[in-house]
Amino acid sequence: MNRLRYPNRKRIGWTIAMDFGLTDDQLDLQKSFGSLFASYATSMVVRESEPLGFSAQLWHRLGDLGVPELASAASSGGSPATLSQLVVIAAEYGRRLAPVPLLETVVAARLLDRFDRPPAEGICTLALRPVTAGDPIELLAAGAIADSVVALVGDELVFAELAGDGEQGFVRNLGASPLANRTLAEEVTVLAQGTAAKEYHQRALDDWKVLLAAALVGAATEAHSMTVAYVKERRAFNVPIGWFQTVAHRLADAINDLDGAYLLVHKAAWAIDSGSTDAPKLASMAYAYTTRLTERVAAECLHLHGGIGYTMEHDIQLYFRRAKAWPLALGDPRDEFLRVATRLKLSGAGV
Amino acid sequence: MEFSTSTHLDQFRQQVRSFLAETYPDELRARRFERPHDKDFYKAVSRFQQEHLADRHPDEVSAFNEEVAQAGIDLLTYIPTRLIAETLQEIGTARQKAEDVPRMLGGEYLVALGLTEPDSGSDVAAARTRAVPDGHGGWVINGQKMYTSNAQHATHIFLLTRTNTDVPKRQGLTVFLVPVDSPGLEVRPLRTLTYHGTNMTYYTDVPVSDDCRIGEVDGGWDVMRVALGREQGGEGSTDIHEVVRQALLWAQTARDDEGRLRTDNAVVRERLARAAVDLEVTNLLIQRAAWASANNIPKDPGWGPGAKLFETEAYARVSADLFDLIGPAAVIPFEESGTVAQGWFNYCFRDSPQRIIAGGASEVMRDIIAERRLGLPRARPS
Repeated sequence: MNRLRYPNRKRIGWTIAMDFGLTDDQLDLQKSFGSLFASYATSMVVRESEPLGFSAQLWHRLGDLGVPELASAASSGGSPATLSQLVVIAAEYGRRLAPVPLLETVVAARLLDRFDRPPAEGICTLALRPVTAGDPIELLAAGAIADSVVALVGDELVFAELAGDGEQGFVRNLGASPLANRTLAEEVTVLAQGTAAKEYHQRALDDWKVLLAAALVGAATEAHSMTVAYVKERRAFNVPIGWFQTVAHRLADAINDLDGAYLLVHKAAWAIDSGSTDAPKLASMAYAYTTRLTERVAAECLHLHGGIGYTMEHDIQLYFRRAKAWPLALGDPRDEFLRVATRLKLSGAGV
Repeated sequence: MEFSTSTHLDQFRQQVRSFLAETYPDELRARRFERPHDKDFYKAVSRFQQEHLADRHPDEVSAFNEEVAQAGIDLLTYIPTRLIAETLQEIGTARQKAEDVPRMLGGEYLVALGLTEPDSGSDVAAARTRAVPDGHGGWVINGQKMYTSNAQHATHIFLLTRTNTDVPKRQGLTVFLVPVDSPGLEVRPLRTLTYHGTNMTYYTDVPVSDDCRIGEVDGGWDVMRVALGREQGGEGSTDIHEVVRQALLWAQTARDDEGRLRTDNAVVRERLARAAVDLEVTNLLIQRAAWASANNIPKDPGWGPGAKLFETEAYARVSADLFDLIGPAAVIPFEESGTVAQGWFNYCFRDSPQRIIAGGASEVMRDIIAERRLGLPRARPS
């Protein structure tokens, strides 16, 4: 969709107005990252990267495109990618289930940037859940391949190297993500303390939620396209199964609901970029709505493939597993509705 | 994407608020759920829309709709008139463009849609109301329409008739703009779950002159395509907005039987959050469809129907759930005193089922999305 400049606007003096098209720079990113993932995150690569969920080759390719430095002002010449641009990249990543720690490294780079620190050497991840001092970090996202981490330890936000060997801490999991149990190195750098530490962590988490929601929309949209193609081809009772309304209507609802998620993700990213007071609320809404939806869509897509969808042979299972597993890195996705409630400023005891 | 609204919009909102405060009679507000009609207000609002919303910028349209909703006003019944005015602008005769269109846009004419019949709803092209030439260049109409909403206030009915029974159903239809005061035209109220807003209309030897015809003889389906193509879906529907707003207000102080705040209850919090999310998604889908139309951006054929589908389903889902949340007093009819939130919860629960049906049932919207957007094989027989 091209960005159009309101050719029929008559009123003079109108400066900014809603625009639901992608901007030129978003389209460029969509194209460059889309084609990179299409070439280097094929389903064969995704499968061969299991169970660890990491392709070193793809990660190097992404490095050539500036991941994760592009998210940092310190290392991008002062003009870092906006979250509105990053969600476009995340959607392409999700579409191909790319086996790289894109989201965590980008979010960590954005967080370090808030302290005027360049991205850490190697792979730096974010501990999504608060950590207890002295305890290992369980099921750390990207932990099996990460060299360092930014974590909320007690009431301190710290940057630290990770001790020991990542792959030894690796835990096999449903989504074939590089989750691992890791411990922090002895020496840590305290970035912030007290309320500020929690606020910085919360902000990073909001970034992650919006990016994960974008990735899930990308993944579910791809699963949906695969399914639409399948129901046009697969015949039963002498007709393509897509002819049956019970099949067609489920796919119609799914694409419409996915449109809602896509728009909500973009609105949340826009709100965060523009420092809107609605940003936390919209980030939670995007996450809550998308995680529930994409899990359902992925399950429906598997179902509409019939028996073949349940086999490891078919790619739809790759999407089904990740749609369920990805959000669990943070915890029960349904809890996010309670955060929405709090961010709606409801009276009563919130989270 | 860009979601911000300009400072201009704040001024515009203020303008809408003062306009409504000046022109909307308080007496009507008390009867809001009956969808009351006041000729002077209708004229005033038509002129305001013509002056300020002629290019239908989505920000302005949304702002206008929200202000209207917050003022407790419902303009849904005025939408068909604008739809038909725009249809005539596109395909009307010189006389219709010169005479009828300004009267429609100026609030002098109020148009009701005469499409549905006792035996045809979503399959609108199956209409059987007959129009036959009277031998002197005019027409005579006989038949019956259902759900001719607003006909009790309307000046004209946009009437879909059958003029040819020897051809496939879509090729034998003709549309007329019939004055409601025509001899032989009878309007009878149809009671529904909410207000008296809709009717049966009966046509017994109704004489209609040929210059009331819209489009070609037997070309009614082309007219319908233009008229329905103008519908963007979800437009002008502000009730989901209001029911969620009322629920969030209610929640600030409501207490359970033990005196605890209802919002201390996580289940209540989750449901209010879900309602707010449904509202946000509804707004985005509607705004996108409106944005594409206003800016002549080639729009995905699924966007308009998708907005209608999501909005009406969400409205029903949210209304039904918030109804429960209110507790025992939710069942008190909105017409009575002692209701919660001026009867909004009771009204919306009773109102929402028809919205899923009217203007093309959800099943038709899903068919359109499946066929035109996803390219799935057409399931309906033609």
